[in-house]
Amino acid sequence: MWKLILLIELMRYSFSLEEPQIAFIVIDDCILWEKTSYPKRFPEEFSFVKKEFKNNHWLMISYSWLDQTDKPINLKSTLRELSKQKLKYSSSLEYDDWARMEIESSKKTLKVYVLTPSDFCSQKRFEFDHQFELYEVFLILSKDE
Amino acid sequence: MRYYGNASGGSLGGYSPPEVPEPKLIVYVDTSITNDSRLNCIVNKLAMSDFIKNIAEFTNTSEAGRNTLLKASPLPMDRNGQTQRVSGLYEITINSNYFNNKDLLIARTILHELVHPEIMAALKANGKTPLDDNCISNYNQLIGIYSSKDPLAWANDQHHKYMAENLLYKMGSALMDFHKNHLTEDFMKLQTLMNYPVGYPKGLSVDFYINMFWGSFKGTHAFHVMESITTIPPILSPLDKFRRDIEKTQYLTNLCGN
Repeated sequence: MWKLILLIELMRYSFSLEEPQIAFIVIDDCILWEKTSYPKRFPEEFSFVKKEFKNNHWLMISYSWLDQTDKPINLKSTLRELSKQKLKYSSSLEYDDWARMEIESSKKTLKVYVLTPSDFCSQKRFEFDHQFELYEVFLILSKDE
Repeated sequence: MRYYGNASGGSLGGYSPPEVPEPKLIVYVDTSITNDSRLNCIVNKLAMSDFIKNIAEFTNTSEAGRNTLLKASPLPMDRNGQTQRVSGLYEITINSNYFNNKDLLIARTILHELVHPEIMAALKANGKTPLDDNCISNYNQLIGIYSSKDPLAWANDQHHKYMAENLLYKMGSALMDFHKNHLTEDFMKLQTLMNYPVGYPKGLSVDFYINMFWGSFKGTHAFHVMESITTIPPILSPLDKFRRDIEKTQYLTNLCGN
């Protein structure tokens, strides 16, 4: 009997876990972002920093992982398909918008996918139905103390 | 005042050890902290670290004598914490919006915020502080022109200039000791993660912990100097190292007390 109760409890728990929300962000204010130049642990990793962001604050988007088992799975999409989603554009996001996404992302209740500045601000944008890679990233926002 | 040994003689044979000042900060830890088991765990561990023991005593009772309040409540999103002088008390607030922050980063914020009242108290006490033997003269060298309309912001800037130029190494060392001795599992995990050719292949050093503090010193002359140093690849610039280390904080844990 206790096994049955345990099983029911486990099933209840697993079904009550909420799926994380997803945010798609197009980094469109490309010239404000700088790709970090230091070597990473894995060659495919990268990060970008947005500087001069509200009172000298900065924001980092980081595509990185602990080990290969933890490597995020990217998505692919054309701009046409992507525009059907609830898209956010980095140029119109304020500091507090990023801060809220950073909190949700750290709680694992939000997955943030970006279309990087090096992709969006390249000729790829003008190729018909180009399949863009959307990378799942961490957000790191500087704060005062 | 607190003394080591017995200054009147006896077994020490008349040796009079140097006077060690009592910690000036008596910190009342508010229930907004003690009721949160993880935050309480971090504060309790911090209270055991040598750096903190030298400047502060923590108490949970609201007895007279306290001069500092440590609490948590929502603050604007652009800050992890703040220190203000309120009704004669130094009031340190940790931003509860960021309760989910990593243990080490919350400890860093509390440590940083505790240095603010220690500076204020030291300046009132003729510069006596275990943090700096030449507190007054070092501080006076950094006093800028009073240009801001906001006196609190101005004092904050002076503190940050002083910390960046005089206390950064001590603060970094204190945070490293805390991590190593009180969040050992987290420290070991980070050490493994940073063990790659352009990370810390010889083990984590104090540089990593100094980099944890740089973010709050932006706008200071010291930060601009750090930021402007260039190197020839493959040598990383200080700014590259700062960014590299900040990027890795996402892999720290927030499990204190669990």
